[in-house]
Amino acid sequence: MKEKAILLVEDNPDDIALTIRAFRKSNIMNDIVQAHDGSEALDYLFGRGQYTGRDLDVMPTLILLDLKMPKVDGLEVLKQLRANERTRLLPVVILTTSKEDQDIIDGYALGANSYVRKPVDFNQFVEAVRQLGLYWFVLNEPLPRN
Amino acid sequence: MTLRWKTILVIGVTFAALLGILFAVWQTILIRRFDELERQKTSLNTERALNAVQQDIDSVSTAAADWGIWDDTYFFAQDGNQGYIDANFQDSSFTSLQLNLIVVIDSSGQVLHGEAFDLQGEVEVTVPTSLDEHLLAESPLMQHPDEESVSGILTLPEGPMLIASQPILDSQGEGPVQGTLIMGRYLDSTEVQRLAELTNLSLAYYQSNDTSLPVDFQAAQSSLTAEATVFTRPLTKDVIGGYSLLNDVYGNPALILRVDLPRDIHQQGQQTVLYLVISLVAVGVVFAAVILLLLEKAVLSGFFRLGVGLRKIREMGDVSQRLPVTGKDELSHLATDINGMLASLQKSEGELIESEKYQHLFENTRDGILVVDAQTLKVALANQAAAGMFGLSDVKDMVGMDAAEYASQDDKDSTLKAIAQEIIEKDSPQTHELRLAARDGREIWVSAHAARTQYQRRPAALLSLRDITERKQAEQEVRRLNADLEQRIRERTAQLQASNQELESFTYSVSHDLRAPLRSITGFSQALMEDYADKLDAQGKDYLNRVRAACLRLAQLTDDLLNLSRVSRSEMRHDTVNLSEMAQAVFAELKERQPERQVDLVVAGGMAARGDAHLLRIVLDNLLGNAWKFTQKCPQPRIEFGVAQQNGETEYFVRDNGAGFDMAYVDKLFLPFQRLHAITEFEGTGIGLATVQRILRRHGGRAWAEAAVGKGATFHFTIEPNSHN
Repeated sequence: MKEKAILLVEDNPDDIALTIRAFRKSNIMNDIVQAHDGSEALDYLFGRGQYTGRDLDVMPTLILLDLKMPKVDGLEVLKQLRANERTRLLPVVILTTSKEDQDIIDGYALGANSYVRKPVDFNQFVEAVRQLGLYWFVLNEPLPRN
Repeated sequence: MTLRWKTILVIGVTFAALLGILFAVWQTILIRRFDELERQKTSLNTERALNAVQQDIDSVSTAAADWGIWDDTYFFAQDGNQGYIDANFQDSSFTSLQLNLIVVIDSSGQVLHGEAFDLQGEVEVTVPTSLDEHLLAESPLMQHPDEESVSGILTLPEGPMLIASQPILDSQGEGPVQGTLIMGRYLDSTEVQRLAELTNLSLAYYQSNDTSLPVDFQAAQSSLTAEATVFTRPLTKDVIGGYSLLNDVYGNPALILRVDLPRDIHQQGQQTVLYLVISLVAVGVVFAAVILLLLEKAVLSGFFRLGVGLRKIREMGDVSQRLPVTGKDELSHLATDINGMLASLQKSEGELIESEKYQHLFENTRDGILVVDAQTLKVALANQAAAGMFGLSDVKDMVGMDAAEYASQDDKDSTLKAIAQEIIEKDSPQTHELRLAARDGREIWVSAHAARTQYQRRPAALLSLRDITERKQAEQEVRRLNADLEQRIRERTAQLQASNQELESFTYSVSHDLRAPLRSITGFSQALMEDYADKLDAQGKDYLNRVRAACLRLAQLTDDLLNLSRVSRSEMRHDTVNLSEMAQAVFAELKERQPERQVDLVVAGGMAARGDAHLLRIVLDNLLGNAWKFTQKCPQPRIEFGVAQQNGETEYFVRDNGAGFDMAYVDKLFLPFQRLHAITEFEGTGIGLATVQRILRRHGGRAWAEAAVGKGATFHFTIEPNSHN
């Protein structure tokens, strides 16, 4: 199942824990690769830093991207990701607390596949995550490998 | 002197002169003709008188012939017999023959017998001795050549005598002559009287040797000659005398005979002339009267009418009046001409009034006006205001000045002269603003408007100058203030931008950073509840639920707060929004959310307003949502959304029959986070009406409410600004 991994880009450890909990509660048992900020996410995706030498043929099936992060923020990650040949077609769902119109517009403009606002209510959050998993891992036809 | 009197005078003088000339002509020609006739008549009558005298002489001569050629006398001359004397020298012989003298003289010249007789006294008188000298042999009375008789007048001291001398012959008239028979008749007053009666003439005579000859006889005597046998002379105006001279038998003047005749011809002439004069005067008077009448009727009355009309116009001083024009004569032409003159007078009066009006305007306007001659570019005309602008007290100082003398100090291209030149060359009226240096050192700004004009029939430039110094100063002040203001606005804008950025980052934090911990709390509370449920008692679980509820509420609050700030920050778009449709959509959503509720919804049709559709949707969401919310405990909920015109404003209202509120707290209604109901009674954050108010204010409208507890609430709002305020 290593192929269908989720890259969770999120600086808040609470949110990481809750997101993972939500996935598990929704019976989504895919690997969840954690990146605690934008640069770490890019390192992972491009095989740099601590991820130097990583097999770059293995790419996450879904990237959950927070926007507001230290160092490199979510939109910058999205921009670089879309600019790279290897990663440009990866499904990216922006999962954030921001409801700002500008963030939503910028996100879609940079090629986000979806924009989901994290509900405060954990039950709702679980529901959202469940639906995300269901959609992206079950309903959605993934990009063919080559 | 009036025309009428002049006409009368002219006609009168003309007639008088005519009459004078005619009178003179008549007097000289006509009267002379009449006098000639009178003279001829007098001459004829004088000759008649002469003839009468001659016949008288002839009658004596005839009697002498009777006696002298008779045998008895013949024999008597021879013998002197007494018988002859007795038979013939009877008194009756004298009276029948009306003789005063009979003398028989024999052939030797001796008087045989002579007798004289007084016919008046009928007595024989002595033969006057004065006769003797006339009976001498050499006397013509005694000469009888060819046995012819002699007769004539003989002047004797006793008076003139008609005398006849007959040679005595026998009854057969055969000679030889035996003597002479002389008969005489005195031409005395009786005889003259007789002649007068015979000729029916008035006769008088004087002996020519009479020493007491009257003047007229003297004149006649001197005028009468052998050729001019008759002399006439008027004696009085009624009587004319015809004179003739009678010679005696010696051929000497003996008597001057005068015939007095009435001057009827002369008088007739005078009368004729008088009649002519009278008739001429009458004709003249009639003629003059007719002329005057015609003059009066055709000319003078017309003149009078014209005069009256003109006097009326003059007295009224109203040249807009016109004279009546009647007929087609010279007077009506004159009236037409006068009317034409009045018209032009009226026109020029009108022009004068106009010109005075403009003169007044020209002199009293606050704008300076200069007329600059196109050729010389010198000032031809200026008003007081213009003089004032150049610091001159007298307008006259301006006239003749070169327009260049008022040049601006700083710009040689925009001097008054240049402006005048430009308008003369291009004829495109323009307005310039320029600075002038006045004579008194002041500096004034003027707005100079140039236009082409004519002045005294010469092309000229008209410059009207308006003092805009104050305006210029004000403009400079405004510019300075504007610059100030712009600087301040820039500063303020920078400040605002800074605070806006702060606000942005704040709201961002709120939306992002505040929500994350909340989510952690709710998430982990949930995890606690789920993972450690067996270790928590009911109270612990209750506490966890309360923590979760509080977090959710805080999350709602932050959301609402964000919405409120977004309402203020978002950009406004103005579209026509169909509020009726929008309200129906809102109600549809509400019904979908709570399909179990039965609410009587009334939405007025066709409500439309201009505004931001998104923001107005938030307004309706809130107001209708509130109504929906606060009627949930009502047995027969009813919500009405409508519109009304109030004081010229379009006023919308949302009325419900729900919980209502206490009007004492109405002031707090539109403040954020203010709630008039317990959270347990009606949910909500208390931010909705504040948002509504803010949106409506952004549109220029407002919102207010009226309500009573338990009797429902009505929210009023306007969207567009009140056009009255």
